[in-house]
Amino acid sequence: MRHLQLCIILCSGLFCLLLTAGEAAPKLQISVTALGVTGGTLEADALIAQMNEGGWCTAALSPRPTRWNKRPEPVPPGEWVSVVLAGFGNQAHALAFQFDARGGARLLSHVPYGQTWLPSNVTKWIPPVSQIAESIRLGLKKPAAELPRATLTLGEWAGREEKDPAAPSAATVSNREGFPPLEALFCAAACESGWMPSAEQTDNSLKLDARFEFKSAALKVTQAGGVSGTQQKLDAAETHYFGVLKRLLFLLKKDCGVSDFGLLNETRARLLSASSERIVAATDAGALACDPRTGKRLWTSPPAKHPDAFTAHPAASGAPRIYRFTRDIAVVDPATGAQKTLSPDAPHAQYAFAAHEDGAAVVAQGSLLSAHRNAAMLWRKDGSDSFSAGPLLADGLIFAGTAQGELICFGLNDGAEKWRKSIEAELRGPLSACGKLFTAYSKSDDSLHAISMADGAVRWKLPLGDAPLEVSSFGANQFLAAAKNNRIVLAEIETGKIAAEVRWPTWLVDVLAVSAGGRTLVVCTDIRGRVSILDEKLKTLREISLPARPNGELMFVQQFPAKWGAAGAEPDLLDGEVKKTPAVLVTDNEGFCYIIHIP
Amino acid sequence: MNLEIPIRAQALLLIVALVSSVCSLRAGEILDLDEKPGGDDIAKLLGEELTTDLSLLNVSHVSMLNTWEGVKQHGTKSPGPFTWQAEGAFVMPSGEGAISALIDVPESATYRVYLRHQLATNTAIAVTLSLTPQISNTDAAGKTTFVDAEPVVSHVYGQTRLGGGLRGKEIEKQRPVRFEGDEHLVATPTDGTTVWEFRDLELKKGVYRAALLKADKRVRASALLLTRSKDFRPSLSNSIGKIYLRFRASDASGQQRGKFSVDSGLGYHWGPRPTKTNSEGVWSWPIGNTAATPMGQWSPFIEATEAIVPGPGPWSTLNLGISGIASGTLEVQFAWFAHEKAVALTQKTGVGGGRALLRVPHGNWLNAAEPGVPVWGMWSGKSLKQVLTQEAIVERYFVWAQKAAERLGVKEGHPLPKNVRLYCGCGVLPSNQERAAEMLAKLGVNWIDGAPQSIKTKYGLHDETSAFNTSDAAGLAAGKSEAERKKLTKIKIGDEIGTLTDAAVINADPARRERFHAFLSEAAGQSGMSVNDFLGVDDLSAVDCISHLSDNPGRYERRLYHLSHRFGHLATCDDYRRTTQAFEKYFPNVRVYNNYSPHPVFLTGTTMNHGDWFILPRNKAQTLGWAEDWATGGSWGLGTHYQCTSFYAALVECGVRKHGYPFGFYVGTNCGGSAEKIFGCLAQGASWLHLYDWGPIDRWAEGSNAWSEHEGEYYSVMCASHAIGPADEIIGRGKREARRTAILYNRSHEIMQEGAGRLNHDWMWTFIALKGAQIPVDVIIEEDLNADDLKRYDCLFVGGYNLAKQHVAVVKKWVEAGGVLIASGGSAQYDAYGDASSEAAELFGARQKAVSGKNKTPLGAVKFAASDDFPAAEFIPGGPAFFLQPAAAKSVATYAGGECAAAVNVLGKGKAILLGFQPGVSYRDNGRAAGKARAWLAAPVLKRLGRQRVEFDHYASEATLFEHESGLAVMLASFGGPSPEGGSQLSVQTDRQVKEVFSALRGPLEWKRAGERIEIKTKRLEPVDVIVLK
Repeated sequence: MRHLQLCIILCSGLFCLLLTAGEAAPKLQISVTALGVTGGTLEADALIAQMNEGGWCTAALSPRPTRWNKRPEPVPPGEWVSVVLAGFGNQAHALAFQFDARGGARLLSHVPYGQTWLPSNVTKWIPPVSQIAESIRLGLKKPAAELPRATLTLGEWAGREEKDPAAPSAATVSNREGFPPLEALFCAAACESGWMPSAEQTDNSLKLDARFEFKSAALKVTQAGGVSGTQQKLDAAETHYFGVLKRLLFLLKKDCGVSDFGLLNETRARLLSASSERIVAATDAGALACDPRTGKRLWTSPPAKHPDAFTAHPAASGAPRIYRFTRDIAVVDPATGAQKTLSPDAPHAQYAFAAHEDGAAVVAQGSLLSAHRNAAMLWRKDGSDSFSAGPLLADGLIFAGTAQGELICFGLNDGAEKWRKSIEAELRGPLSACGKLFTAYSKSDDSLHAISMADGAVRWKLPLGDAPLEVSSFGANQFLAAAKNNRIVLAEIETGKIAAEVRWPTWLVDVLAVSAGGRTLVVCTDIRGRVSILDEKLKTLREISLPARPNGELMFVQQFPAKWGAAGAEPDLLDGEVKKTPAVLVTDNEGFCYIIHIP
Repeated sequence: MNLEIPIRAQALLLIVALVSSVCSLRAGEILDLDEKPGGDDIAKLLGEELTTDLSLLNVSHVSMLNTWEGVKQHGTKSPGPFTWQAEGAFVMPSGEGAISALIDVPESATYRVYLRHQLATNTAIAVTLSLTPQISNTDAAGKTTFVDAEPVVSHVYGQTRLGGGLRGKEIEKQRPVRFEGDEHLVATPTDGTTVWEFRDLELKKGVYRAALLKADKRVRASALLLTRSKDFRPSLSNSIGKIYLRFRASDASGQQRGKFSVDSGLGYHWGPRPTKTNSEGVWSWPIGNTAATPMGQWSPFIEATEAIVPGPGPWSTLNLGISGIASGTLEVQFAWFAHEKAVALTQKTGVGGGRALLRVPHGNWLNAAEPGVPVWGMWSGKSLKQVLTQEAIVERYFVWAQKAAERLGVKEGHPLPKNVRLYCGCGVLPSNQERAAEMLAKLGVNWIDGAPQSIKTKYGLHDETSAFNTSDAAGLAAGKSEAERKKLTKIKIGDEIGTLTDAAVINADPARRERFHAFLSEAAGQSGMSVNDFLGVDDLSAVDCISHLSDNPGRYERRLYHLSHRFGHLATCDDYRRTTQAFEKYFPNVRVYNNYSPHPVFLTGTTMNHGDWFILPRNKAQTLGWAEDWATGGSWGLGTHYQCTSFYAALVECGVRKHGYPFGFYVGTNCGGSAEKIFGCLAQGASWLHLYDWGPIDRWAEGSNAWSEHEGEYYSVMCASHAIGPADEIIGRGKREARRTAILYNRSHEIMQEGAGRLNHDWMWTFIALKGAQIPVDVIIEEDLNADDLKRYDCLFVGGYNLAKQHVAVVKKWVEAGGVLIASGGSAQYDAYGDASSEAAELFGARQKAVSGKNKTPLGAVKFAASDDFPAAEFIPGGPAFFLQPAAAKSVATYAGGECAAAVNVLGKGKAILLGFQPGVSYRDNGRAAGKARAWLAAPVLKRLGRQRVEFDHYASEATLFEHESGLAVMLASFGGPSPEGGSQLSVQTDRQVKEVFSALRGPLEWKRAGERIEIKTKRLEPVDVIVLK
């Protein structure tokens, strides 16, 4: 595979000159263009008025340019802002570009469809005048962060549209002018994936082949100049043309760290389980499974009223089992999506139930604790105080705690109380098994308490400083604890003694221990969009910046293909055998799933 | 034993005997097809079918058998006796005996008598119809009864068979039957086919008892039809059961030239009607247009069956748009068949603005039998009586208004309010607008939407305009003159709004996101922390606004959640502010408002988390406060007997107080209690009241919006307006008595606890308890917990588990300076972000522990010993309970188990009183105003404030003092019934010279001065009055 050869060009100082702090308000000439939009028009006068209202710029309507990215004469470079409504039908993105003297573009503003405030009595889409104006102001404020970037030209491109075959007017349209929004969307996607798109020919040129079929798109970018590589995605929903394009361009970046991506859903998704055959994810609407080899949807659950209706708990084998836990608790067959009720009781929180492969389930509902096997109740007990920690099910025993510091152990089958301990702790959240101990978080002193499963004795306390994000075994003798105060700790199970720790500079989204290549590593995601791989001393080995913020849990798969959908039947897909390696999968808050291979 | 057989029973026996003699057929016996059933001359019968005359259609009568005497309806609890039973539209014998109904034959003639029933192909299913003449007797009381006479006319139906392999149309040529539909005419009938079997019978004018008897057990019959027309082809699916309309218009000018057409449709009021394509249902149903018709002539018939019969609820509005004339009259005919001889009703109504309306009942209009009452016709009289013109509808309203005036007994020329705006719609059509507006003006409404100028001038009404549910300032201004724009004073830009901008919208908007990050930085600074210490990030750019908390949230997450929520409301202000400013640009005198609903806050929901009532006016995003009550006397009134409206008004006042905006209210007149609600709102400072809303109901899609149908509200509105009238200047321009007591509406608690403890109900009941003790009270929010604002108050009630540390500190200083703080259980145990707060324990001098499962039962009564602050009292504590552990504080009450239930901590010159329970809910649960917790709750406040300027000894009331240079006025409102017949005692403190004391509604009152107070004996309060001191 050829490496990408990127020519990094430092942009002229033009942008910086524009908005250096303390300087006079910039003079801007605004052109407004609508490309492929049928849902509404942007009132140029209102936009100019809005921009001038704040006094941060002097805006005027520019002479009409011949094209959306063709500077109108005699507007000087740098004074021109091209505002483009680009999209399909009424699903428009509002974009504002600024071009430098050499034709390089930067994206000052991007207001995606559906993210606009509307008055309560308005339902149709309105081009967001004030939002565009405000975001142009902000875009002009931060030129430094945009540079340096590799330039990229959209060389050749083509769009073909195949309309609804069932419609009487079904037809295939195939000409470049028929897809005016595509070029603008490409430029915006390039900006957001770390390139500097240019209207002029540069050393890096791509060919874009976009095929729009009824409610889906096939997008393919291939080398046409200095950039090496080909990326292709099929069956992107029309609302995701832009997102797919952005990620295709992201993959072409040198050392992006991601081997491929797939689109799971149109909104955020979080992984429930993953294998090379099947990925199961929870979305705001329910759960779904897809085949990463073909990219095809395997099944979709019935709609769930609650966005967090589905969760995954590790089974005894360590692999996650999937549950739907609203109304009642059902285990979900990852192959078919079929749901089998385990318990008619529903827990008060995601952590407030535990289940076993043998059909056993234990549920905490306020002060009630109940045990079931295959939906038949074994027993139910009123603990008097509400259960606020656990339950945990291990070795035929159930452990649960209260905010009053009561810890109780019951036998699963008969509900017999094995032991009861009272400790000075306000116990909250999940209980985590670590060998013959389990850990419980006490909110009153922000500590992790290690409790003996045998008798309830507190073995040690580890001050975490905040609620835990993750507690899990790490190798044979250690455990990994990550807290919501950004702290990651590796400690000895037997003593609680800290072996390594690190304070993360921002919020962690998830932390996962993985064993690959004979090493145990820690992988974490954070809100900056980074995926970090740490060694046994919690030193960072590698950092990958995703194009969107991670969402949900990381999943590790020992053997996972490098390409999403590579085994599909499409004739024009990439040829060649796809290698399988250990990989971590992570989803983002726009519904995409990324494949990151662990060395 | 009495062996006398009643006359009616004798008659029945006679019928049975006669029928037995004429009916020789045994049930189930198979007939030969050539046999003439019953000996009738079938050729003669069928030959008469050749006539084509429908001119005798007007002499027709249908009777649905399932309404006859002796038929047991499905689900009836009546013991009977029943000999038949109904199954849907059909009836069937369940025993031996007859069913019957009285019919009033209008003229002597030959009638074709149809029985709609099911026949078999080869067997007879016989049933006898007898028609027995009746003799009427009218007793001294005017009650008419009927007894049987002779001769009885009868015929055995069901001997006709449908077999022989013939198709329906061939059978009709040979046998006296008519099939229901065309599909039967081309098919070979099967057993159980429903047909109209007929027989021509001679009947005399007069009352007959029609009876079905001697029936085969297999009989399934549904209708009896008598008609003089032999050409009419009966069918319940095609000809009977339909409703047709036609119209004739007359121009008011008298020049009956040109043509007119009518566009008609039905508006529903009682619920949407489901359709196949619209799962949410529709509120209207088109009927159609008539063809253009010369003026003065009848239009062709159009069918309205599908719109009218299955409509939801009891009735709907027939909206008629008439093109061709703007004003005049419209005659509307209702026919059961599209023929002029089938017209059953003609109504005449006025046309105004090209529109007219009538009210029509839903359901099948077909005749139903009435026990003991002879009837005739195709449609029931009850249905026809429910077809009303707008004139008839409105006329009832005028009568009710007149009755209200008579009941109130005030004289002509009684002063009416001017300064207080009492607004309502006048939704009648132009043809009735003048009369309706005048009626409303006489009720005391002084701003009537759509009132003719003549009425505005005559009654001195507010000559202003308003607009609703628009955010398009430029669009509204377009085409309006400057004068018109100046006249527009009130614009509603949002109805029942939420104020929370979705976190996703904030995150996707760079500008909002930037402001959010600035907001976070500011919050960190207010907490005395760096951004890193406060939120755990050194760069805020990656921090998203979040909409919910995880199950076991961390400290940073809790802080971010709280601030995200706060910002979500603030972000909304930016947009509303822009809209408000746009309206102000075009309309110089306008006030802009959004309406808030109690539904998500107090009725169906528990918090203001989705619609913060304070945020927009406090941030200049609306310039007129507004809310609505939807308070009924029942559950929607939260058991307060409308007094929740006073609390809602206090919440709105809290919103507008910061910038001194006026506020208004949709007084839920449509829900009842207008007078109490009007007084509750005015007592909190409202000045723009929309009496929501006068109809007629026919103008609304959803009928519950209109009070025009509520007779009692005419009196209630009139009572309130006429009570205010004589004190209008004092109330409208004067000042309310200063409020020295406040109740905190704790939004931090709502945000972090999601309604736990339902505390806003506790705050409401605390408010009501204080108002009942004539203690003027404000609602405040956390923003007001600053030294300057707290200076206004001497007593403060707080509740809510979360309170910012800086607010606790401010309150502590205020207490030390002399304030009396009364806190409910759990108050401020956490800071605003959910971290345990030691500051609260220091303020209260006590720790508090939630009563948890192990020790929550039984709490028993809470017992207060008499102390400096409380009288001795014992009652059941309300709301979630907390055990207190006093340190510096002194215990003043205990639970039954001996645990501390209340503690007083003396701090400087003031006191912090911590209760282990909810005071307002305790007031509610222990007899309310008449209960033992009333005096207890008010005691520490009165101890601090001293005697109130107004004291009124009728319980469950509000007494509010207004003062103006022209005099004093005390608004009195009784919640929960009138005051005692003998009146009550009112005491008003004033240094001013008083020469006259009178009731606005009852005239002069007995009064005397006693020191600095005026002691007044009031008259019966029912339900409001204003006492004026001049």
